[in-house]
Amino acid sequence: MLRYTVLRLLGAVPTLFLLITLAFFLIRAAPGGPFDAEKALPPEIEANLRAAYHLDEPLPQQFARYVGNLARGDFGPSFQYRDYTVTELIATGLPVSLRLGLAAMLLAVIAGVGAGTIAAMRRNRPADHAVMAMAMTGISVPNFVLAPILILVFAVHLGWLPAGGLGSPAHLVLPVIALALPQVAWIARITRGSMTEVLSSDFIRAARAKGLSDGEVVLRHALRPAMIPVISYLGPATAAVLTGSVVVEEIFGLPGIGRYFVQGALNRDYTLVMGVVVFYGVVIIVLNFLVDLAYAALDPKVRY
Amino acid sequence: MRRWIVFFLVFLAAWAGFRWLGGPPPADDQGDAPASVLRRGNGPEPESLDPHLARTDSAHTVVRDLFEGLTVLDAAARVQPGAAARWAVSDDGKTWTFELREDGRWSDGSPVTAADFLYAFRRLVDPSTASPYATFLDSVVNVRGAATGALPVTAIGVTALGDRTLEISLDAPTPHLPQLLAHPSASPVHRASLEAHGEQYARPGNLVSNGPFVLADWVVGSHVEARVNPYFREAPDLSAVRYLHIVDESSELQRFRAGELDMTYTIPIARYPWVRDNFPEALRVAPYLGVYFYGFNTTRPPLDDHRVRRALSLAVDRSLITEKITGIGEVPACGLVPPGTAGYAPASLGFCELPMEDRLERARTLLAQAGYGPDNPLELELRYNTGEFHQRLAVAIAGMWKERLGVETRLLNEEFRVLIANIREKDVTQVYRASWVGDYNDAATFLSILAADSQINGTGFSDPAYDGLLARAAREPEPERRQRLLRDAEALALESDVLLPLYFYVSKRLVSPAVVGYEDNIMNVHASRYLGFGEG
Repeated sequence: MLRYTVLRLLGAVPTLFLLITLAFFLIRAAPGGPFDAEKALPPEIEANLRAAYHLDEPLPQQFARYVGNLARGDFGPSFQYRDYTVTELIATGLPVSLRLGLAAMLLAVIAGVGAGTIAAMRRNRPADHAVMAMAMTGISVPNFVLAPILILVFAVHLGWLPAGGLGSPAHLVLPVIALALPQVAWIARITRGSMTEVLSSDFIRAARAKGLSDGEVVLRHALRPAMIPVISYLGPATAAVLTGSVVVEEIFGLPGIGRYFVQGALNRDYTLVMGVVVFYGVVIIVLNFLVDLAYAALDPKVRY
Repeated sequence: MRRWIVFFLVFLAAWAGFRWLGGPPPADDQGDAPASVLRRGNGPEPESLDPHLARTDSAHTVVRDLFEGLTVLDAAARVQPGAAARWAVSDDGKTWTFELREDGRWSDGSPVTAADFLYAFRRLVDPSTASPYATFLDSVVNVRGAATGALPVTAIGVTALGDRTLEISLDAPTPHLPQLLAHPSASPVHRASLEAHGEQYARPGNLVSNGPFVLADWVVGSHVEARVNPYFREAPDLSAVRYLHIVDESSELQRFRAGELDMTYTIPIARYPWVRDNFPEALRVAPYLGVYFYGFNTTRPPLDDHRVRRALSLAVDRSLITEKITGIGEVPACGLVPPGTAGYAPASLGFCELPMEDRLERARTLLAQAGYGPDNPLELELRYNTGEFHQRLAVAIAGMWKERLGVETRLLNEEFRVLIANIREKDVTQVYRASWVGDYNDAATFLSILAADSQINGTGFSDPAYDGLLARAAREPEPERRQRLLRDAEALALESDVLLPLYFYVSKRLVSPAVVGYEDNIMNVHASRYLGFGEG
């Protein structure tokens, strides 16, 4: 297990390096620069700006400079937000996105597995149909439609929850729901399918024959094997939550790092985009690793 | 028993998680505020609150509240004394002397001196500051030379004659200098804190400012909060201002409806009829110093042919566009400089008053003369930056051209920065969408975009007569003669049809009836010091 961990971590380094190199050159290949605006700058000012940010150096030299700084933990200054460094921007935005993402994933797993399990246990009865209908809706409605509807109902008309911003746990309720609901739907479907399959297997029949109650059968025996497909799905689910957070953060005005991805690209804020790319790269690599570890925990046949 | 322990632990974990979820408790709880805090939507995140680095409208709005320049704009956007109590200008119009107020104070209590302004102007021009407005005051002696690094910043024509007297020397008389000095980039800067904090200077706790408010908090991506500067000479009605940076217009509208905002930054155009019907008392629409136009790249066919340009301009029904497509009260534009620009009587396209049938007949004749007709239809490319509104407008105008002139237009939408780069390079553009908003209330800021050496001139228009008129106007000390020269220049540009003006902007936002002191003005500048809460 230890050997496996070390190998995986070592393997992550070339992956990250490739990611950084590709991102670095790709974003600079896009037409338009960080200082372009409708009120164009006089040429001498633009020259000053480019010099200040080393954009007048040849690309390989800029790349070497960037990687060197990165090795020392310096992500560079933001080109767009001139009072802040990328490290500061990511550091202030990260807790917000992390809370949002983790809460959404937690809600998605708990609610999704719960709903899917109930649907599997009451297969083809009204409860099952209700859950699956909800799942269909959740999968079909994009979160940029869902979020404004939630705001309209709960914030504007009912006034129960804030319409945006940060400040209290109440501020995160609607964004978390908006982000989690599509995933709840997917996870419910997957759980229902895999739970149904597990419930019809031999060892469950044996457990029932021994006289165990429904609850014990499901919670102590059926849940673990049924979760394996759900764990597989967690990889893409987390990716969806990460990308979905861009929309949700923008609609609810949350200061997370999701916006930096899109805004950074549109602003040609090279350093900010690179910082977010590196960050997301690390997150996905770590998550994939954790998913693989979870397999080992759930399925005794999997050993590294 | 074990089950209960497990339940309890899970409950504990959930409760702790919930608390952590909410983040740190808010510094200001709106619920119990006897203090009056104005919550205003402020558009996209400001790129900087350093007066010399701020570039966008959102950033300037905050800077205007934090800092006070030699002059300021009042609630109606008229120029008023600011940090300077009075000023005098020499007979030749080239030397201005400003007397600073005695009670001017920084937010740390120290007095505002002429040296602060001297330091600020030098820093503005300094190439190492890389300010986008380094050459904004280009009529000041040696500003252009210092901005390129050819001259030291100490060579610029600004001198401190004692603690409270500032002298500014100009290359050419600039009667609207007070108007220019009200711009946020002409704010003074607190040298000691800049030297102490360097790049961290524009942060809450570090930023020392001389205006009615002080920077109290800045959560990037969420809001900026400013509290009253205790050393400012007049206490504003508000105790604090919270600028919320909500990028999505619809979200901003929802938050206004939910009572979380007192005034918005804008209104989503698509929701305008609904807003007008449901929030009539809060809706504020007013003329704004900006123009929306299509530019013609005259360096490439087919728009190098003046007849083609004139025909295209004749065929567009601007009134129809402002009624049906934009529909908020914009004024159809038959010129480049908006009406209401200070002291200026705009020029106009000659044919705007003619009935449309006559215009279309003329247009078709011109196109035929240029060699286009039913068997050789004119083919055009129209580029605009991605956006539903720009697309609707482009479709409408392409439709007019097609229906009335048989012109085939290809519509291309591009990301904003790509479009800007293409406009500047002039290699691929034919017709492109553009706009211009005035930095200050004067016709010159609009006419400068067509100067031959202007970076923004994507039309390729280069007329020595036009540039000559602009240069003479820049040196003309007599205001009325100057305005006439500018008007002649505008008429010249319009006559050449290098651009197709469409409409003049309006500012549009929602202001809660509980807010008092808000006055519509053409600069769309609404400093928080004039605002307060009262009986609406």
